[in-house]
Amino acid sequence: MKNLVFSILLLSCSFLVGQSYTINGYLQDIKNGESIIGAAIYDKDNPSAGGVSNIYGFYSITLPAGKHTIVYESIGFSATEKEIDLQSDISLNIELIESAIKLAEVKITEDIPDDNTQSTKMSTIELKAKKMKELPAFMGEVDILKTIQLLPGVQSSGEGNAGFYVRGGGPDQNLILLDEAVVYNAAHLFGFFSVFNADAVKDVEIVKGGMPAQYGGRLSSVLNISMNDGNLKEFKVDGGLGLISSRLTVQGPIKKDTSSFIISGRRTYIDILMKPFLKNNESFSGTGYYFYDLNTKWNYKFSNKDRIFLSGYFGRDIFNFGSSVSDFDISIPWGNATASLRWNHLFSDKLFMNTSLVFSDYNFEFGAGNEDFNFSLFSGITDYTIKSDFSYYAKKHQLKWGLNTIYHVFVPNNLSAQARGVDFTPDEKLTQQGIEGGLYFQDDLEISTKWKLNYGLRYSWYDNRGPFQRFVKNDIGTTIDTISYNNFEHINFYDGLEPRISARYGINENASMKGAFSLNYQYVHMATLTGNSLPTDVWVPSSERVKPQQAIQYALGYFQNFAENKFETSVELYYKDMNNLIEFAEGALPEDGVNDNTDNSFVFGDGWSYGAEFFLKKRTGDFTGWIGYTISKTERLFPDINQGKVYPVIYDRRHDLSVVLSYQINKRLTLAGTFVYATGNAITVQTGSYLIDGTLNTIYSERNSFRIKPYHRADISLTVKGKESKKFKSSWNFSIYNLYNRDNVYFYNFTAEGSIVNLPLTGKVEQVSLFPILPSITWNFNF
Amino acid sequence: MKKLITLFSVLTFFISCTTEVELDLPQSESQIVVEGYIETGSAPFVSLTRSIPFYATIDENSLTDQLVTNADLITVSDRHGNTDTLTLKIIGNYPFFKYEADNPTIIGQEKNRYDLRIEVDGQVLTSTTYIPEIIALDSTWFELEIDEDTMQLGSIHANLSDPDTLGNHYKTYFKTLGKDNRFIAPSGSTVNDRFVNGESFPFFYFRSEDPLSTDTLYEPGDPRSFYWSVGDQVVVKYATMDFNTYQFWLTRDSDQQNGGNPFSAPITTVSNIDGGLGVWSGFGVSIDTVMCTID
Repeated sequence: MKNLVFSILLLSCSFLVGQSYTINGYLQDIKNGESIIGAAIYDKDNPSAGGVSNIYGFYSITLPAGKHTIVYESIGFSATEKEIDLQSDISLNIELIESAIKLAEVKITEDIPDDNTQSTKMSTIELKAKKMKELPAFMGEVDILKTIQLLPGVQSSGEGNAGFYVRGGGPDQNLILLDEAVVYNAAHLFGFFSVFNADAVKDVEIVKGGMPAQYGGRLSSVLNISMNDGNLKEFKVDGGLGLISSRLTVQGPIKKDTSSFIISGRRTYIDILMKPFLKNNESFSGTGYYFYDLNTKWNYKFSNKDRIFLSGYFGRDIFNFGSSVSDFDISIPWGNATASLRWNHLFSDKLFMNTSLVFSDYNFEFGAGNEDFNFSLFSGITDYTIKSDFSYYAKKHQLKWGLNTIYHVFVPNNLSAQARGVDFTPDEKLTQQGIEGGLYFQDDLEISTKWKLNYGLRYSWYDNRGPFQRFVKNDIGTTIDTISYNNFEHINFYDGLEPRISARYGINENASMKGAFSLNYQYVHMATLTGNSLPTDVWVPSSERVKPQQAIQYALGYFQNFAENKFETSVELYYKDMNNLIEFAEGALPEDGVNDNTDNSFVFGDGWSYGAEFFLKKRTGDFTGWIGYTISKTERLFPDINQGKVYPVIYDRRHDLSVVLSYQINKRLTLAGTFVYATGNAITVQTGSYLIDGTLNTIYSERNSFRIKPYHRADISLTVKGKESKKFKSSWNFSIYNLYNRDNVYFYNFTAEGSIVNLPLTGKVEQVSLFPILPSITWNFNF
Repeated sequence: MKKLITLFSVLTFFISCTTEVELDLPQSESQIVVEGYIETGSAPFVSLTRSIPFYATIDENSLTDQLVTNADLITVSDRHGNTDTLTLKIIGNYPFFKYEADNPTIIGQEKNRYDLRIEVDGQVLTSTTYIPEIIALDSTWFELEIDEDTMQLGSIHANLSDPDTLGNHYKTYFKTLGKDNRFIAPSGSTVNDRFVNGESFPFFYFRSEDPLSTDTLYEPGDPRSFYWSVGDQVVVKYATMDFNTYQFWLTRDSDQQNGGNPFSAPITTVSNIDGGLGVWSGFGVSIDTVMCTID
């Protein structure tokens, strides 16, 4: 062990030796000045000497003095070469050209990046929003989360479910970041749509395993979404008219090549479309549902060394119920708001810093009532984050270190009710606050052309603070005492070390083996009462009762590219062991958290997941797409659930297959299709009944012991580009969802035929399916 | 058409379809179900039934198969050394028969614990329940809600002064004399003092029909089935109970309300019986009678 540490230190010092110079700069799209993320930059004669642009488009590589041909490559862009005679450190901003556009004055090669086999990154997939827009979309709404769920190892839990599940982890174990702000609920309308408006999004990266030390706070994945910065070159308007919603994006320079803005909005109009139908139905005359999103971003480039970004998101789902025959009204708004202010600073050619101030908020409200009675429920979480991340680009190393602290404010479930003048509001408003922190260091080290290593360590902590009231229970659940904590009074503290390591061994130019180990802690949690995530789900912090969740993941992968990197393949095996997981106790009810601590209804246990993921991707050409297949098993063991017996999780999938294909027929026509097949969800079903006090009571099966039939579905879409003029472009997208009209199970409805006073009485099961074959049409334009 | 629009509205714009399916459900073994009560001022009684598989058809013949009449021994003991043996008695209406003591020595008393032991079909089922202190309602009265020529209907109101200790659990039963054969607990009648600890406050209930009643049922939608009529004489039984008894009745009520709702978790009714299903209920009861009259 000592020798290994010594060797690493020795290697760490090796960059001090030899006459080398640094080339750094920013990569951007020649058309609109958008920074290009994840582009490969390398020396043509020595491809292993190079780097990758970060999420701000910044790169820095160090090469020996002398003549070099530097290659800049990114998916969707033509590779560009620059001849350089390197005699000092230089700064070189590069603008790349979209693949489709040909310009004579720049030398363009047909090389394709091979980051897949070259880098230490594994279990990580990056997608460009532009590519997603060509895929079939449900009701014409391009959806980032739905596309992510087509990747191996990432699962949806079926239609109408907000969460996604990564390698056996729950929906609360995904860190969803929009320009560094945490998005706590990424779904509109119970998961039928995601909150990410594809017009405002540039790049999406998902990390399923081997999480680098820079990320923390969640066990299973990081979904990192970068918003467009705004066009630095010219004013642009993009929009789309769909069957149920419309979008409009305006962007442009405030000062050309220095400062720009983007503002993007989307609203559904289901409520407006429904109005004529409801007008004649007195019972629902005031009923409607809609959601909207607003994304905005502004940036200013002070110099090559300093740039600031200010971005924000605001979205709401609003459901109203009202009728002209009764004075009873319901109003349910919920949604996220985020804001991030980021400052990029270049201390030197090699040292890059980003400091961010981030605000994030999610809340859910339910209000119902009439003249005599009203009831309201409020829950939410608000975060204030400050973080600084540093990157140092040495010859063989890329060092990163940083610190972040998040001040959380939780409102688990605040309820108030009044009936005929009597107030039933509980005595205490139960908020909780705490400070979560992380300090990390990591190094991406090139040991040799064959060996690369990314190692890092994260120290994380959670400091739970008042005001807080703990309801102390006896064995049978009666409150026997309450302990009150004052504002900012210390309640409890957790911390932990999270080692992360991944290694890559290059077998040859086109193939490599990778392995990764990671340990993660999670200090904020969301338990779901139903197994399906809903907007009503409440986030709670670690407390005296709730220990931090912990996961250890091992991953091993083989990566092979073919046909000059046109085809990318990989096989990854993983095993994930999770401890201190949280579930609601059997028999827990939504109201249990009222005038009580939500975590008093929790029980705790362990889980594990293992599987193999196969991925084949064709990256370029007229015909692109991928096939992903996962075979896996995910189980839980809770002493207080299922009589202490092991049970599968609802989204345990033995088989999960996704096929995504896109074919560009000609310049104007693109045909795309997707097919998904998944083992049915594991659910708990009614198996019997018994009589109590004259009515039938339900007996349920063991937890999740019944499999619903497999889910499969095919969708296709055709994108037709209209005649382009210099100023105006448009396209039509025709999509067909559920092409062969598969009646997938949404849920089973267990009912009884007859009654105890109207014999015979027997059980009956109805299958409810959503969405038969469903065509949609969207018109997109930009000028 | 109306139904269609309702469905359309509730699922907003979604198109859904429903088909009847036959599922190969996991086997559920028949279990003994206990429904036992010990109330202040009364001797304990127990009825026993068997659970049935989901797809089983219950008709007049098989209904009697559900009744367990062959218990070997049923005893109730207090913590003062008294034990009564309960034997089978047949009664005219639900639960059709019950086990009770011939000459009971045990009569329910507040602030006492009672143990139940049942031996049947080679199995032993046990339970214990505690009758907490009786908390009587301060007052009960009738309030008119609908005043029309053809009918004058209303709800029953009461005032409760909840003691200043969290953890009181209540269940309310009503029996409309001449209309109900037994006490009926309306929907939402199992509550605790989570919201109202230490407060004195009024509350009200609407009438519920006896799910077992065949002869006094009004036509569906008739307001007299969910209101009391002027002239009704209503007995209100207000019961306190321990946490385990409360948890059984609360989860059982939730099961009744949420059964089949896909957005709700399967709510397993939490039994306080070891070795079986059901409940051993200790109730501290107070009784009031309300005359439904207009002042």
